[in-house]
Amino acid sequence: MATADMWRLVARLRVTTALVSNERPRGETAALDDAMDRYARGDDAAFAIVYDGIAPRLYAFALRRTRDRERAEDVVQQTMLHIHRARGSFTTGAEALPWAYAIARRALIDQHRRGSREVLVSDDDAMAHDLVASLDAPADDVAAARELAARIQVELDKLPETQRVAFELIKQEGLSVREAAQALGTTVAAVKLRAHRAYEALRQALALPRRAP
Amino acid sequence: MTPSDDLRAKVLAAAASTPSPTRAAWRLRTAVLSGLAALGALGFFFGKGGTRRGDRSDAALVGTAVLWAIVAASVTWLGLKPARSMLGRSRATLLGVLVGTAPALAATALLVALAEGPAVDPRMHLACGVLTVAQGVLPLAALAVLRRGGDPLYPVVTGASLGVAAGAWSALMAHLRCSYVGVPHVLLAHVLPVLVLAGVGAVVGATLLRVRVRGS
Repeated sequence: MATADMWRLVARLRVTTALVSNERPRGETAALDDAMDRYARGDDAAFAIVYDGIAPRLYAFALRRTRDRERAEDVVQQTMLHIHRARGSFTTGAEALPWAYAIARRALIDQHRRGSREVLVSDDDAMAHDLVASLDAPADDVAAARELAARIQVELDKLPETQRVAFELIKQEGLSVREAAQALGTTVAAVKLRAHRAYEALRQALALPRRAP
Repeated sequence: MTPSDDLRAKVLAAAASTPSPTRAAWRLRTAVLSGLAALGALGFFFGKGGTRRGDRSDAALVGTAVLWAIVAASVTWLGLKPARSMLGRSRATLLGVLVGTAPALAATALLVALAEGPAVDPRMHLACGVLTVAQGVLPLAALAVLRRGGDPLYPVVTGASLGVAAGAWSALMAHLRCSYVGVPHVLLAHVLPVLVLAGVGAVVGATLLRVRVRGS
């Protein structure tokens, strides 16, 4: 497949490991932060809104790392319950999403340390089924997308942890650079550098041309 | 790729069945704990005699105290979470606090109080140092309890920076309380305890501050 076609396919199919920016509209974040703020003030009903705004993102994030639905759901559950327990500490004007990602990342690390080995392929078929089901595309394109997604994931897994996570948060989770910096506890400049290095490493590994600005 | 509806129901039910403190309760708890820690530290300070001028000049006493207060306030401000954030300062900032505080205290003390005082019995270094550490333990404990289980990023560094903040205030009170001005005494009994409290804070951070995620 030509490289231009590969980029087009990635963008069109929005595969799970897409190399395209997926930034969220600001209003969505503001609504989530507002719901979290109301929950912190004591509006118990707002937790459902917080859950709906955060859980699907965390689930996708965790599933990419674990390749295991059960473990991904475990991470989501623990993260959401931690947010529930700590709601009183939520600062007015703070952002809920970077906080949630930071907790989820910690949960993933702890889960890994508890000795549960990474299941690298167990749910690939199910994930691929989801992917195929979500696409309205010719079978050849879907197969190529799956192949490309697998290649990207393999290359992502080879990257240093700091670069990979920065790349995932910005390019796959759609966090802004500032939000990713918060979630990783580092500076905006450091996150930009890490994501750029990851992007360049992927580009070279996949032999893709530089994207036009 | 979305989590199951069962999970949603399970999480919402778990949250509903285990009430958690709201912001108002959290603020009340913070005020009470902070107040108790401040009262405890001040009670300790005045219980040990409060400010003693000794042979020190006013310039040495007040100058060092003002500069150390500025250092302590800055370190506390940097060590605590910034407004409008749930995740605290960057690791680089906190490491800067850890590395820079003790030299800053030492430098300002030496700058203002260059004169050597009378020779101090080395046992006084230890006694005064222990008092300085002890004075900082309560504020550190209060800060740690307030942030218990709340640092998903680098709890050890955060704990150490809280230890440095508590230590800087404790060093200030030690400076006001202790009339020995010898450079070795200031460094060993007033500044070194800041590093000791940073170490205690790091241990506290590793055990208390880290986000604990329970196994399913």
